[in-house]
Amino acid sequence: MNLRLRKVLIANRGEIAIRVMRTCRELGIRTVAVYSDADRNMPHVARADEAYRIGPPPSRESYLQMETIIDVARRAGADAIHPGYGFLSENARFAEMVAGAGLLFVGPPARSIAAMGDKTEARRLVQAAGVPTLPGTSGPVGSEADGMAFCALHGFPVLIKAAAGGGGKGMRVVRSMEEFATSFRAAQSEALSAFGDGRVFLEKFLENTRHIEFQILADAFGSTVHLGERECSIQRRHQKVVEESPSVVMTEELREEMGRTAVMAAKACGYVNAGTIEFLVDEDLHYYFLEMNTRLQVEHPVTELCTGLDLVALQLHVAQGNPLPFRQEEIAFRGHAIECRICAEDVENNFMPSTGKILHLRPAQGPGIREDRGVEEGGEIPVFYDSMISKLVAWAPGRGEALRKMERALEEYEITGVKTNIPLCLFVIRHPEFAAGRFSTRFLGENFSPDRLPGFSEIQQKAIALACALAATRTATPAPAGRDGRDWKSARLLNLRGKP
Amino acid sequence: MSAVLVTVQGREHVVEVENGRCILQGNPDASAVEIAPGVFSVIINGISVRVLASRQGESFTAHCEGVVGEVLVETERTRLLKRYAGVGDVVARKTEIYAPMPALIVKVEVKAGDSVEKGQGLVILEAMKMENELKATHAGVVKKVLVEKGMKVEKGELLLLLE
Repeated sequence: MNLRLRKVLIANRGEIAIRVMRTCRELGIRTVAVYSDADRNMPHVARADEAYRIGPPPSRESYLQMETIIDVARRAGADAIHPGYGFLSENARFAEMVAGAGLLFVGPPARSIAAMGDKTEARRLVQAAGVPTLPGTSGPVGSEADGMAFCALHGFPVLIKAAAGGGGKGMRVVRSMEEFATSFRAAQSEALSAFGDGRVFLEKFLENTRHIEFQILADAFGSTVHLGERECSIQRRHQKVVEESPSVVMTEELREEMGRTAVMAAKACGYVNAGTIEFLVDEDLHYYFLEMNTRLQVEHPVTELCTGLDLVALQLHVAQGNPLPFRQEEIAFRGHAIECRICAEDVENNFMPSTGKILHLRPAQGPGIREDRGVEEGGEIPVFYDSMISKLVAWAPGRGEALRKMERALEEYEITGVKTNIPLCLFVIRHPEFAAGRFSTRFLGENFSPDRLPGFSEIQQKAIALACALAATRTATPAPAGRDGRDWKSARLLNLRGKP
Repeated sequence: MSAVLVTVQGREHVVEVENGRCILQGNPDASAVEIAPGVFSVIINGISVRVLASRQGESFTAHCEGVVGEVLVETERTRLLKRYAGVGDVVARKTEIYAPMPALIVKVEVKAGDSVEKGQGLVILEAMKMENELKATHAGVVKKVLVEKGMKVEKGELLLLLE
């Protein structure tokens, strides 16, 4: 690769900032980190070649401050800005401003971001290109009456969606005419508060679908390829938890067809750089365009492991105006990769985020394991940003082996101080239906409840009893000199009832 | 010599303590060492188990191969004291609902005087880009609501009183 970039600012935090920096370093590119006051101690700051403060903890006042970030890039002498995912990564105005400041935006052109960001506009664009979509309204729905007319024509269930964004906000499934008006108004107000835009549209809702997405990559010379699919059906409240590649339902013919369709969708908006086309796939393997994510995805490592490619390196490569270094038929897929998003949340208490300091952290290691993480032992999970601690990824030649590797890695992963969803991830990986590949996006909602989590085995209980007794006696020491250790019970155990 | 009563997932284990040495009743040869702060290596009849134990308020949290659980460590004396004082798992009732984290109040689902069922939603909080519902830990009557929609609350701030 013929790289000209010398210095890149990463307008993000956490694991993705570190992920981008790692590739930059391998390519001999200097890295510039930005940080809010909540993140001064974070590893993405310490690992960068340069780091600059951009504001107070709330994202709105730091990681979403476009002028400040561009100003830092200029002052630091950076040539480019990589937005990561989230924050400003799908903000067309930011992409425009970066270009306007004479810097490279490591992502698609602003017009592609804008076209795909408006969900009804995106539907129209890809439909015109021949990409299958679900029956839906051609644009935002102006009135309840118009919405009800659509329902009468297509039948229930119907999904109300926000025109301005995704992520489950402003989304409502409606199953009868009686519910429609209430749900319609609720979705509008939710969309308004989440995106500052209350417009909603309607789509026919399919009950038993999988979420399968295609990674695409495009250069500025009209060449677009796909890098295979990722199955992301294991979701909780529209947030992905487990992702894998390939999908168990995929055949070579279907991959070729869906991949070609994904490339058509990307071309429909003049796409350049890395992006993802999301599809819903029904039980008969009919597929429908859902939306396009115009950025690097959280779950991109599974694609990297199955293709042997470095997506960040390729993003930097095409952002500088280089042609793609390979053609579609040169891309080979090997083995099976699976990713678990390890988040700081309490699976036994309605998935409440668990904030605080990580007291002990020993990640899984060993053959076939990759871990991308943005916090270290002793670090805090700040309340201001998302709750993801780590992405644990396993690769093996086949799916069964990859699942066993992931199970082993999850058992090995040690983290204390905050609660994590590791028990939930283990629940999924060990579930016979998941192992058999029989699941849809409803899997977690239908199968998971905290009382289905396994307990300790008998030998583990005994070991824990002994360890905790030792810990209780140990924490009483150091005892004052001259006394034996027997005073521990009066010193500590009486405090067991005390408030923490 | 004294004994420690350790309750793991509802089952009680007796550990005798002698000069700082811990002996598991029924498995006197079992050995445990703390190999790093909070990390224990335990060997019972040749079976090796790695345990993490961290103290959290009045109990321990134990981790073992992806399973997490609360552990209660008592002596006969502390247990008797608890029974006598009428505390413990018999009557413990949460009547004050606190914010578990700094958050924005998205919705207050009850008002003073409402009867609530166990598990019924009380307040929806937004933190870390997610909405979270606080639920009633037991059935009761809402005595007082101290917050309203749109308010920002700090961790540990009193949100409502339940009776």
